[in-house]
Amino acid sequence: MNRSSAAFQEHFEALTAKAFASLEAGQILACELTAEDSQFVRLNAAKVRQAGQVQDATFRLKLLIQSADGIRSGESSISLTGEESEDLLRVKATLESLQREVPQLPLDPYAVLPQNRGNVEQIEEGQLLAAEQVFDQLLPEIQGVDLAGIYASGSMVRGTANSLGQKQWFYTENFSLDYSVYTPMEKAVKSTFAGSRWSRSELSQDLAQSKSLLSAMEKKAIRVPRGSYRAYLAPAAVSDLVGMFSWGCIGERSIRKGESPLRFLRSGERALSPLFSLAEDFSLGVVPRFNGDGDISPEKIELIREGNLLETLVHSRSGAEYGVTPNGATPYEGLRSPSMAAGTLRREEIFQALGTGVFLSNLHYLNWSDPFEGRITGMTRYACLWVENGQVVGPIETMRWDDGIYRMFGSELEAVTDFRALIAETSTYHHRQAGGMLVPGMLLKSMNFTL
Amino acid sequence: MSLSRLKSLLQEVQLLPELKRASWIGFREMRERHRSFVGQDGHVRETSTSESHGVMVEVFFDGQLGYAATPAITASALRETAIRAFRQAESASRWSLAKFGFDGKSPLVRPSVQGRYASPASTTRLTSAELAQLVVDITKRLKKSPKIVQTLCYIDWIDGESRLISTSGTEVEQGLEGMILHFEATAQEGNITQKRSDGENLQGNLQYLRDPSLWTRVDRVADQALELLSAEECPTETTSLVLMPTQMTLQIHESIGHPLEIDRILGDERNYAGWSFVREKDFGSLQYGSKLLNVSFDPTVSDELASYAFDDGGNPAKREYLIQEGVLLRGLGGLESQSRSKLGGVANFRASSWNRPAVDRMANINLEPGSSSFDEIITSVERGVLMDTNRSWSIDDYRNKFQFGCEYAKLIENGKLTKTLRNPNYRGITTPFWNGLKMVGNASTLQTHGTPNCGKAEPNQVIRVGHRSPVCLFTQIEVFGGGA
Repeated sequence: MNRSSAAFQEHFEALTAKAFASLEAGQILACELTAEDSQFVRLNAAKVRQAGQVQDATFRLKLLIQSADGIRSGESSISLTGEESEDLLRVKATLESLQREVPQLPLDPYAVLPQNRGNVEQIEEGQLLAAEQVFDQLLPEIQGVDLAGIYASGSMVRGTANSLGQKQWFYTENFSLDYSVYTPMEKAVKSTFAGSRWSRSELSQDLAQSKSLLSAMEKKAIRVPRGSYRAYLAPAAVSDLVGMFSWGCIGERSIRKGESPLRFLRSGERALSPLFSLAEDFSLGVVPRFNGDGDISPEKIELIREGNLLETLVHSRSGAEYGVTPNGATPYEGLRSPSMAAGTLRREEIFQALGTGVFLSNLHYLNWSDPFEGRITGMTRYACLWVENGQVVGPIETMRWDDGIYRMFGSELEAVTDFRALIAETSTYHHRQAGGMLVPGMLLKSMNFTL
Repeated sequence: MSLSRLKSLLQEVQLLPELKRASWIGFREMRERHRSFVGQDGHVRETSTSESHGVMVEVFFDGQLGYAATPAITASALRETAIRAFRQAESASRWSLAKFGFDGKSPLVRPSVQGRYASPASTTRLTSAELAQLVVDITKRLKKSPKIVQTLCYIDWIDGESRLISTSGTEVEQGLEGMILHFEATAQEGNITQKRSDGENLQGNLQYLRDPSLWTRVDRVADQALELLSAEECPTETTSLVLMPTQMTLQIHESIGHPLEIDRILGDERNYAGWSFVREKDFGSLQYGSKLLNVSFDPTVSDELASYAFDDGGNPAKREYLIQEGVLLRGLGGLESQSRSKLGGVANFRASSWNRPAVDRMANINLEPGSSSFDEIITSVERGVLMDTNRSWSIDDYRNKFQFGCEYAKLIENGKLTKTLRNPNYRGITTPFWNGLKMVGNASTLQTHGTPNCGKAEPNQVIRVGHRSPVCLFTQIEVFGGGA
């Protein structure tokens, strides 16, 4: 396996060229590459718990066969070794298997044939630490505080190509230190230090800010009774709420099937706040603008503007099923590069504007408590504070909340901050995920705390 | 790859000058194939296969583990990968959280073992075309009314194998075959939408796919989705709660399984999934639940999703009680966590794939049956709610304050199941909740379930776990309904 974009690209093109040359009449093939060359260092108590490196590459082939009665399709994914002769054999065998099996499958009435919509290429090379340098650069900086987290670094590749000639390429090199620091009483502050160019001095600044916030957490925790309180949600907390729009909410299919609470917004039966605007904004540059099938999204999709639903995320399959124009969404029609509009609340006004209530730095373990009505439950986590008359009293004991999107993004939304934070995607399920979310803070007139 | 070929590759790696400084080297080869079929509204939506195959190389240096993973299983690739792993171990060894001791030539946390495991052989075989047709047929059958606006079914057939070898003589081969089946119907009338689902998460025998009872279950899902449209909202009150095994699975998983993971107790997980309210001193003394609560770690049950003979560190798997008569006895910690915490543990050091390091995971966590029949449980309740099939789950980072929701519920009045209820939810705090366990169903109420998607760890991993439970009755629980 090679690390450079050019080497990954050359390998991908060799495999796809061979596969496309093996197609028979009526067959269209779409291919996707997901690859990474990553380092992971897991930290606990500011020491190394586990350290390692992962090279991985997955090649997906989607074969569509068009005949007089319709379209049949099937797909297969395989691990690539990075060695061309071996990988050519694997791709050949996988394609032959698809060519045998797909004709036996039932027709798919909503299958959409790939097209050639042009090529997209985005390459961002970074300046990352060498794998052995990390320990002596990072560990000295984090001493003197109880820190847990994960350092992840390396290159990520997403590529697609289809037999009609379309090619897409995304390559990025970046790192993230996703961490939290703790007081002896187990109160914590969370931060993510991320970028494409390593800077020890910037890490030092980020840590200093976290340690400074941690000092506010050393007071005795306050037990706040159940009830409704004014609440300020910092951008990291807002990012969790916005993330719920990806879960059966903003997708066209979920609205059409009656599962999404936004069906009431579309019908006009319920309203969101004019202070709430949400877009899918690929100009952030953090994820590829194409999905795994090679469909390309517009650079910006305005989903909700000033509380009004303008568009939804539409995968090509939903487009075929419902007769609407697809906009390059993934099959799950979830957000990939969300951006929530800023408002007018200035940073220095937050505590005064909050008055008496809870300041929430982060939320935890969100889930729909009523998915069809848009009610969400979750927990407070990390630096959450009780504030009285604009003054911080102290950290709160962890609280459960249970409230609806038509309240939090609707009737109870009092103000949105004039600044936004880019919350880096640090998920590593199956492979390192690219992405991020640009979100402001939100001030709510009331939020329901239930346990 | 054959064990003998893997061993010869390990021998080549051992000869590298740099690796001669390593204390120990291990290879964990894993290959996993999935055949997945998704049907929606009477059509096939997706048919796919996937195969992930590679090797995790583990190297110990000065008591510190370093790892490197590669999908290229060739001599040259494994040499390069082993050198990477060694350099990680060596560089990290100056900053080790814990140094792991050795016994002769083997780390204490990587015992020298030999053995094999294979899932129970299934007599049922279905072709891809048959499985694709099955998901289509199930979604057609679910569409019993125009009010059913969406039907969905997926099948994920899993076939995996792993091999562990090491410079201290470990030779383990394990094979797994299993099936995830899920089907659901979404019903809608006016502004009311409700969903009902069912499925299986089992290892080995796939006979149920051929069993006529499958279609009875499909019909019940559709009927109950429709029934929920006109059901009353779950009341808001503090009352008795009967949980069916489909929901007990989630309750056990979130409020017993996760808090007992020793790596959580040691703080490894606190930046991600969280810490635990359980502390080292609690083992042997904490009254976790009522005297009716008996919970085992049991990777030896033949059909549960997480059965195996050895964990991914080579620790032989055996059944252990975690909680007996309500008292917390043992945590879910593999040999590394046992070494660090000085607590007893279990063989649960598991990795989701060749490209992830093993950590403490659940395997099969089972609540042992009691003595009450289902009828005896219902008859004993003057007023309460029975809840079935998880729909919503959320719990805090110490695994204390939870709120769970279900798809379907029945009101219990004067010892009888009466009205159907929709949007049932309940909330509580872990140990008071389990201490409110009043009746435990007998073996006739046992069901085996599990999940293929238990998420944890940094880097993140999803893993399969199994849970077997009887029907259970709890007292003084806050229940409530849905709404915006």
